[in-house]
Amino acid sequence: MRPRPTGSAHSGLGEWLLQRVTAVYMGVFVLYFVLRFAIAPIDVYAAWKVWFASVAVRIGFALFFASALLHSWVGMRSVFMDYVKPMWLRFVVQLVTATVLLILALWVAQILLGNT
Amino acid sequence: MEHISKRPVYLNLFKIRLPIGGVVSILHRVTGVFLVLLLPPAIYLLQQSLQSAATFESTVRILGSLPGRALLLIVTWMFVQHLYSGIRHLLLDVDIGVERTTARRSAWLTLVVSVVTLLLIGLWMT
Amino acid sequence: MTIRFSIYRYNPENDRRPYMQSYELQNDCGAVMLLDALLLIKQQDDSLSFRRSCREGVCGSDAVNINGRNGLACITPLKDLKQPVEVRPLPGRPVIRDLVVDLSQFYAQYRAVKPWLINNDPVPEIERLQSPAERDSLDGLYECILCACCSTSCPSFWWNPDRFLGPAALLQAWRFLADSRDQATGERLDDLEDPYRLFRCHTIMNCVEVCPKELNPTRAISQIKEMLVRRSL
Repeated sequence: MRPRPTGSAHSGLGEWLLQRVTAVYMGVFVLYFVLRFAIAPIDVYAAWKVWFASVAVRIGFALFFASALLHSWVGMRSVFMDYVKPMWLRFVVQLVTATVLLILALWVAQILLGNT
Repeated sequence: MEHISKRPVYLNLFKIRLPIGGVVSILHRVTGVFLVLLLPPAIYLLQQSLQSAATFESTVRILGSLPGRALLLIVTWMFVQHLYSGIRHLLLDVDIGVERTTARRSAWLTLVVSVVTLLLIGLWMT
Repeated sequence: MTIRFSIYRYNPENDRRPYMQSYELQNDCGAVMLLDALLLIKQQDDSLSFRRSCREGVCGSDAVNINGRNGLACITPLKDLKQPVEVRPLPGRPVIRDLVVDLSQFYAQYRAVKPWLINNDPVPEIERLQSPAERDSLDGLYECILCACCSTSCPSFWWNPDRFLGPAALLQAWRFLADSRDQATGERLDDLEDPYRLFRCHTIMNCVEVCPKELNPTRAISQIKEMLVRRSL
């Protein structure tokens, strides 16, 4: 039986844009990070701590992880949409992925907000 | 219509030639999935490096050990391959290099540049 | 000297599953294009089925998978092909018999983009005028012959042929979005804005690799996305 056409979901553009915006931020951040450590490597704990204590660095990291997690969500969802056919299974894997990513977000928040 | 679903479908992925753009695209997807799986260990290492001087030292030691470095190189390759093919996709999105020959060349380029990047990092690490 | 072929065979009345059958032609048989060879093979074995019509790359009937790559048999020179020349049906579509596949899903996706001009103005006495520049913007879009080489080489179409429109249909969607005489731009974009219909395209570009008319569905799809971005930002 041919599936009945169900029309457009009027969505998809937001995710597509988000994937690209987060990619660009991560690219810029990694470039900065690599250059920063190539020019002046940090190999003692105290210096690492001092660098990380800066609010700007923490915001940079926060945005990086937010981007990485959102980028992961859109990417993994796309993988599931392509290959996972049974609706219930797709629902389960998407739910598990979203939950794991959310837990990771809370973990990162805990690290970045810690009064270290 | 019932009998149609019983018809064979030819879809032997080992016999269908995947163009270089397709190869880079599936690499982008595979490396992407691996990078997602690497997020928890990466967050864990960040946490360890910040916790105390002792955990910082052990993190540096783990990453500096031979298996640590080997693993780091593999992860780095996955990351740069994903990064370069991602940049290629972004350029294609804004109508740069969408012609067949240019797209083929840029696909090859991502593979070559990732390996070169990896070699440079390998040299720098030794 | 002979030219060797290995051809996908399946007859739903006799065969439980498809198999590859070998054929040989003499080097001096006179076949220039692959289609010539297929016609000569059919003289040897008239049970072999395939579609063909114009034999000059205009009708798009004889699209098959040649040595792993989709193309039109009638414009594929035999001398360029590695032997044995492996000929299989277009990937991912139900096989009706031998090299003949069922393209109804492909046509349904084409129909879904309303591939006709929508204009509610009263019909003018002579014609709907376009400037030369407006007409030029349709070059590279209207030439599609619907041979299905692109869509059946697209992994996104393999996995979701019922929900992803596929490169051929999306090229036509853009062909009417780009047409200065069309008045349904908004409705067309509404219909396309969907995680499956349009956004299953991951710019893999297999479509551009195989198009026998050297058209560029990937560019058309990017332009649809750009129009959607402009509309919503």
